Amino acid sequence: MRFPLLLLFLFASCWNKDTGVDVYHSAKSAPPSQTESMTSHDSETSAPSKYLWQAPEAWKKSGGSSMRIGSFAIPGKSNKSDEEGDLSLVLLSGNGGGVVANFNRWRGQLGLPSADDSTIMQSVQNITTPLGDFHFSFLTNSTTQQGMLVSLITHQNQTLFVKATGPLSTLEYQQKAFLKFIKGIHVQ
Amino acid sequence: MFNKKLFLKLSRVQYFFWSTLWLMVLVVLGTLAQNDQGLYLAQNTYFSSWFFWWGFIPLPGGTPTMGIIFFGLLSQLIFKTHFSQKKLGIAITHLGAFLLLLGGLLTGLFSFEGNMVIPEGQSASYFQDYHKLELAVVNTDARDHDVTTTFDQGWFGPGKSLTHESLPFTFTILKFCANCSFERRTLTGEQKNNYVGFAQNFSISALPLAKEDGENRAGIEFQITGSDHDGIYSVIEAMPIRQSLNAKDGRKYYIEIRHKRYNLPFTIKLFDFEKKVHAATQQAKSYKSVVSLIDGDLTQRAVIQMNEPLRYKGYTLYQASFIESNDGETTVLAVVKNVGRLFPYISSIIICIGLLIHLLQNLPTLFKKRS
Repeated sequence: MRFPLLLLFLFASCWNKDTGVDVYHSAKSAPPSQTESMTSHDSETSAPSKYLWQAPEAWKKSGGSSMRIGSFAIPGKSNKSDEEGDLSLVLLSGNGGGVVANFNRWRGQLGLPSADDSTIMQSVQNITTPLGDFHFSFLTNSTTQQGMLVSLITHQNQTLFVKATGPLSTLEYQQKAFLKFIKGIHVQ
Repeated sequence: MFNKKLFLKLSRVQYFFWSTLWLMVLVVLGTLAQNDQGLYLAQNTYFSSWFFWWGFIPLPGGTPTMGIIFFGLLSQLIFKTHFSQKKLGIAITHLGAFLLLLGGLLTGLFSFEGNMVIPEGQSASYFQDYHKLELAVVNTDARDHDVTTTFDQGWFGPGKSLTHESLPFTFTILKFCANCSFERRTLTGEQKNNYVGFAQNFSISALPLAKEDGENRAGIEFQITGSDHDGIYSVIEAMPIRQSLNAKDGRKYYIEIRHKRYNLPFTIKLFDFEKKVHAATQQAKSYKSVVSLIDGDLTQRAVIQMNEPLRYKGYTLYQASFIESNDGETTVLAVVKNVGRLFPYISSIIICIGLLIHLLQNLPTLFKKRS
């Protein structure tokens, strides 16, 4: 072996560090919110969850209110302040009043008439996430040119509401980011 | 066949020249690619690779390019450098450049970095890699500790069989995606019996990698044999519900895919996280973590803040970020162990000394030529 350094370099370069198997003892990890059993999936626990999310860089954290667990100012396409929308995350215990009641409440806030159960359920999309299915809808008022991206999920005896309000153009521009945002919400 | 002739050839100036020039091209390409691909992917494509594709043409990546420079310098130092007084400056400069590359090699091979997430009032004695993943199988039977078996990402190829003496069952990997989408699956009758847990409700499929590696959510689907409920399982990163599994003898396990964990030889406890914001804004001005470092009988209080890391036993802990939620504050520390940390400093000093000596030695000649 005339050039051990050369061989050492080649060995080191080819060495795949990512095929290790390790066994170790560790302190008990924090208990999960619940455990996926081998046969059942829908059991619920009343333990409150800590929800985490990752917002796009363009969204600015805003003050919000005491009801909110998260609050963002979301910019429009041209980034003008009068086009800015508001996104809130609110967590309530229980089912938060249910899907139909909440969608009718939001319709009312937009100046739209109430709709019956079947109309609302037809307009609602289910967005699959690791937390479960979010009920999502894009409510628009073409007269005022205002809108709402609304979604809610009941998870572990709590209901998480994610709602963005603002000019239609801003919400159309941010709809993709909004959906990506709710898909990324998870519990610690 | 590697021989002395080849080794000597590498010391030729033209190899060094063209390799360095190509390295500059790689730096430009890698920097531009970061805009579209993100930092991690661009680094892997251009700097850490053996080759990369430009259309259908394979081009050398950073590894062979730097390898040629490294061995060229090594060969130059061993075989061609005349340690005479006249050439002393050049020899020292070559040595400095060689050490710089050696430091880079050691850093690439033996360094670890990741983050450590600690909520206020809690402790942590491990950190998680930013990029690498692992499949962890955790036995929870003992009252006071868990026994964890981990398989690194290199095992995640479809068809690979994972087994270990600590485990009573075998995994056969069916599907792995570094960034997954999951769709609701509807199974009926016999099909339903083949799938277990999360896999019974969701199927996973690969998505293109996100620009920022942190936005990817990995998932893996595997077949388990030898447990008390064999079948196809799947887990994704940060699952709100853990996937449990029992061995035939009743031992309890859970399985998760997560960022690779490195255990530290000490524990960090977070007492308090303090954040100051700019007036009338939510923008952070400064933030710091008041922690306690616990190593056996030693307990030492320390403050980690921006530009003031904590260094201990070869690890450096920086204040990186924080998480605020309705349950309190959580600090995020960046943890780095870099065995080649001192090489850039030492080699830069050596290169400066070498160039200075060379300059001083040549000053008389320069002045003579001018006069």
